[in-house]
Amino acid sequence: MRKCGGTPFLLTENNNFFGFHLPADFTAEHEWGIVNMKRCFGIPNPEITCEPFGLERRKATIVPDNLYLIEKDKEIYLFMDRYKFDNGRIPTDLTYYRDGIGGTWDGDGFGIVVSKENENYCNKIKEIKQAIDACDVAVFLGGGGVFENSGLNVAIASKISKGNINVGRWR
Amino acid sequence: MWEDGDKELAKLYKDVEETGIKKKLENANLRYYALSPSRPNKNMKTKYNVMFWLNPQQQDIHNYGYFSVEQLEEWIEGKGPIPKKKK
Repeated sequence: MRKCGGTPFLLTENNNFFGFHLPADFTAEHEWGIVNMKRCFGIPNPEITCEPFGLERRKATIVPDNLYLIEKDKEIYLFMDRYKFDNGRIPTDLTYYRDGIGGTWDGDGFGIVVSKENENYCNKIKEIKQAIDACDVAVFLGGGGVFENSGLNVAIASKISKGNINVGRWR
Repeated sequence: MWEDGDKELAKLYKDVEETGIKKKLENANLRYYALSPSRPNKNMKTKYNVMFWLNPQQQDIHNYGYFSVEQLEEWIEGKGPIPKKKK
């Protein structure tokens, strides 16, 4: 995985949390799409012209078997590990963070680290884990801008409203 | 809203398929890195409801840019704005 281009931030609408946004960096790993990650979540990957459309196109149907929530003394980590975490290793790109939060992702998985000093982040990372365990999560690319690639969004599906998704930039 | 966007994108790609332009370029052995469709802007003269961003291979002899289906068809015949003019 590769570190986020900027600091991850919370997706909110009317101050209600509904997910994490992990910005892209200018690296190839953030330009290849997320087909393998979607497969881990059981998200369909149809042709552009085929159904399903809308949220169903981005919603998880299974819980990835390589997702871990690990609590250490000072941090909480949530990450997917292609090596199934058999050696207790925290992904290298998650070992550095600032402002209480850090992130990393590529086409195979993602990771978020939060400082235990920030209670808000700690609650949110656990909320996302609960949503993933309940298959109530949508994973999709979006955000960015003219000179910035799309980032990865991991959002609670039941909290995504029509108002908080700007069509076109949130694929 | 999301669903509307997905459906509009699906319609765009179906319209592209109907032009048959990708197959024609493939048969003419004209290669590209990107041929990205969008709806025509007001400056694009075309009878189709699509235009393309073309990023061609061999850019020493081919121009990149926004082109209509008709201009891509001209490219197959070695005419139009895509082949670079010899100096």
